[in-house]
Amino acid sequence: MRKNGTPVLIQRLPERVNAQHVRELKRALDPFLKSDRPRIVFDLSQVQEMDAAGVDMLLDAMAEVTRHDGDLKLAAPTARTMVILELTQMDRLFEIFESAEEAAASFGGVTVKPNSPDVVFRPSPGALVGNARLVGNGD
Amino acid sequence: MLVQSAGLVIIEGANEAASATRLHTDGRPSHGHSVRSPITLRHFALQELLGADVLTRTVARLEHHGIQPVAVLAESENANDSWPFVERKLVELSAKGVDSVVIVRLGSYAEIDFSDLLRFHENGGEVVTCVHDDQGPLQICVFNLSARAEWLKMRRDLFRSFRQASSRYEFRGYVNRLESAADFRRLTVDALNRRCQLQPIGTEVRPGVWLGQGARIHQRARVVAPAYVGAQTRVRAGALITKTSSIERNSEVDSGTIVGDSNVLPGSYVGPGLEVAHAMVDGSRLLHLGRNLELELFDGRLLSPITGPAIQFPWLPLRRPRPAAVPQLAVPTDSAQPASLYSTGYSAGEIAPSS
Repeated sequence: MRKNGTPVLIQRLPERVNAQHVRELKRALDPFLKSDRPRIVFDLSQVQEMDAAGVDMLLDAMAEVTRHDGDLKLAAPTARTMVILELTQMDRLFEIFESAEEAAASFGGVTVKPNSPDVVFRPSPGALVGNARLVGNGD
Repeated sequence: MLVQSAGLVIIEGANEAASATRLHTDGRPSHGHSVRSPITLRHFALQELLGADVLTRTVARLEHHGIQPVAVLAESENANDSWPFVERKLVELSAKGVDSVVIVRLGSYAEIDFSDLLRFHENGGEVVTCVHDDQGPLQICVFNLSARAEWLKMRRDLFRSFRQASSRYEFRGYVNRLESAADFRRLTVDALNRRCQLQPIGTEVRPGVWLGQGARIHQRARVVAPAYVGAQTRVRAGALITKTSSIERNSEVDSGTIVGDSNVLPGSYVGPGLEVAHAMVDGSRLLHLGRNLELELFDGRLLSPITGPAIQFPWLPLRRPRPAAVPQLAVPTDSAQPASLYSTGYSAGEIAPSS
């Protein structure tokens, strides 16, 4: 059993989080969102385009992790993404941090260092490949 | 001796930019999504503000002071190419017996008392009198047309003479140079807070809240003074318009949306459950004033343009009491000539060629 519970997953989202790519993204994220007490950080540093479908995806993800007694935080949004998050009032719903490491550390009892195997998922064709890595105290 | 004066308003900058600003904001039906230019590149004097743009208001102010007719000229990118048109206009006016012409290079909003300016010019006896404030020239001059030889000599130096005129009229009233979106926002705030004479077009339904003709506010929506909701605009249930915001004509703010400290430009749809703060919205474009960042959102559920029928602009009164003889003008839009926005007695605008 891990000393400090479930590891924190930092999931970098692709450039386009929109209606065209959301379904593929959800499929890739589902296993993590439905795990036991998920602690997840969405790294938004690469996101250039987000529409209402993308915002819905964030909301759905939050609902899913909450159902599993977990939490979801956002990190490193670009200025453009931040404008959309503010426009859609997502900034009132999510904790948003300047960096993924800061967001991960905010879960408490987490030492932020890259010592776990990366998890790679494949988004819809043409989009960037996102990289996920587990951060947390090892067993 | 009665001095006859006429006016010439020059819209500086590219024809396309000037025309585009007018074409996209007059609510004419368009095919699909209209292509709107970036907000930051707009000619803000052509952008509707509380129901009417600064061009309309400037012409109205000139005519209010008895300066008629008023011509509007859209200038090409190369200002020198528009001089032949200006010269032709001056010659034409001179032949009609006009003694002086007020030339305004449209840009700033300035509450000039043109009667006082003309008196100052006549008393000074110079060929050209230009208006300055503490920040410099305001691109407004009066030319004595009877000194034809003098002003013909100026030719392409005409606009340079705006800066070098021998007679300066120092203006200490309200000026907003409208050089940026922030300036445009500031003028909105000043007008709604009655810090200038700019009057919203509509009815003040309660202190500080103006509604344009046909504006509809849901009974469960809130409009907090001071604020402006333009003609034919809808504010749906649960929406909140606050912090000196302006929602221009033919727009819609959907349910539960908050618009605070912002301008929503004509023909814009703002989706439900959103918060527009410290921004300008034009169709699918949003300019965040705090971050000075402009986005275009290709999602009709968030922001999108609305197309609609052209509407008539009512005459706009100045805030102070006016003489009895001020004409009441209807200002029809004219799809054939976007610059021809004014009734007879005022000559149609001309588009100077770019080459």
